[in-house]
Amino acid sequence: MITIPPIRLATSQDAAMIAEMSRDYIEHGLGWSWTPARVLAAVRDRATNIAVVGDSEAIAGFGIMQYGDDTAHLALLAVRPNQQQCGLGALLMAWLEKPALVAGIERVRLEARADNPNAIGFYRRQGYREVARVSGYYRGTVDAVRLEKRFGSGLGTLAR
Amino acid sequence: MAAVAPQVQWLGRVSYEPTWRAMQRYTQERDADSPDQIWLLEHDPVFTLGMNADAAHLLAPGDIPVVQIDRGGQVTYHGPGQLVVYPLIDMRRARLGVRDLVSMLERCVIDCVARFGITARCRANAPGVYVGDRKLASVGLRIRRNGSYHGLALNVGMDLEPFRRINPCGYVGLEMTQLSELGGPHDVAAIAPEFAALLTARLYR
Repeated sequence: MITIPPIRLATSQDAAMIAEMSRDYIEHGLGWSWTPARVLAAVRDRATNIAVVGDSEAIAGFGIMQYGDDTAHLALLAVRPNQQQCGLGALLMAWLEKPALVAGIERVRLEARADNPNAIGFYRRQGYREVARVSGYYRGTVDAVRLEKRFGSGLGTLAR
Repeated sequence: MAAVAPQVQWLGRVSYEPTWRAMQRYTQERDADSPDQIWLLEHDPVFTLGMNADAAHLLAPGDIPVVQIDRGGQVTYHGPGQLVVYPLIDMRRARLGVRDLVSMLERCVIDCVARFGITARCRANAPGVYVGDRKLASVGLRIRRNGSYHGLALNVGMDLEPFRRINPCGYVGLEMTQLSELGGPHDVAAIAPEFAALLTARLYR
């Protein structure tokens, strides 16, 4: 039987492993900007949600979303390579998008490494569209593709 | 603890649009010293379309006015017999995120109705509070300049027929329920003080 793993908010005890996963699976070749201290600050920031699958000794995947008035920004998303292709990434995205929908946030933005077609393909399948290519976004060496999903398109569509 | 005591106000039965404009204005003009406000009220009959609303879910509004507004979520109905709660909260001062406030509102409904022997639940994949498969309360918010407005609608003792003129929250065939059908109170004014007490206890404990 396939069980859907519960998603929960990260705690301070998850910070070290989230930072290590960012270093190993996202930031490889770019240095390490999402250090444990930075992740811990995000855990404590109420305008940021860190969603986690798995307990703090064995995190299978996580995502970090920052919520503004009109725009939410997905800062990081990673699923451990041996746990990919099970839908965890899509579950994490939907969980993180939920507050944006409840609060009338109009769009979610994110940047993906231009050299990572798998990630770009994943975000396209989640409804994201490419809006820009940002030259040298990562440490001046790797380009980013900026993607966006719009939620607020209903405004002004009321048929009279 | 909030720096300034919250102001809880029972507004009675009020029309939708002036109330919406008033909470927008309060949020726009408030500063770091402004008190949080919690407005409790009933609305005249109205359908509201949220930011994510698809007008196709507005099946047959008939004689009930429709207002396109700036809260999150889909289409819903407000009318007499429904308790509406608008928490105008300085989210930064209260150390709250959107998810925290939504969960808190849902939790207050669950605790409030439990006092009448009603077991309600929230769902992981959709906001609001449910009894079985039926929806009891809806949540939709907006955040501007760290201030929240819009909020919660709890069905108490109302005519539920207008909900059949829409697909509530964008779900085809979603059925609504209310406290009066579940053995709870019929009167909004009777439950409003209790709800306000639960919410302020959670917000400012």
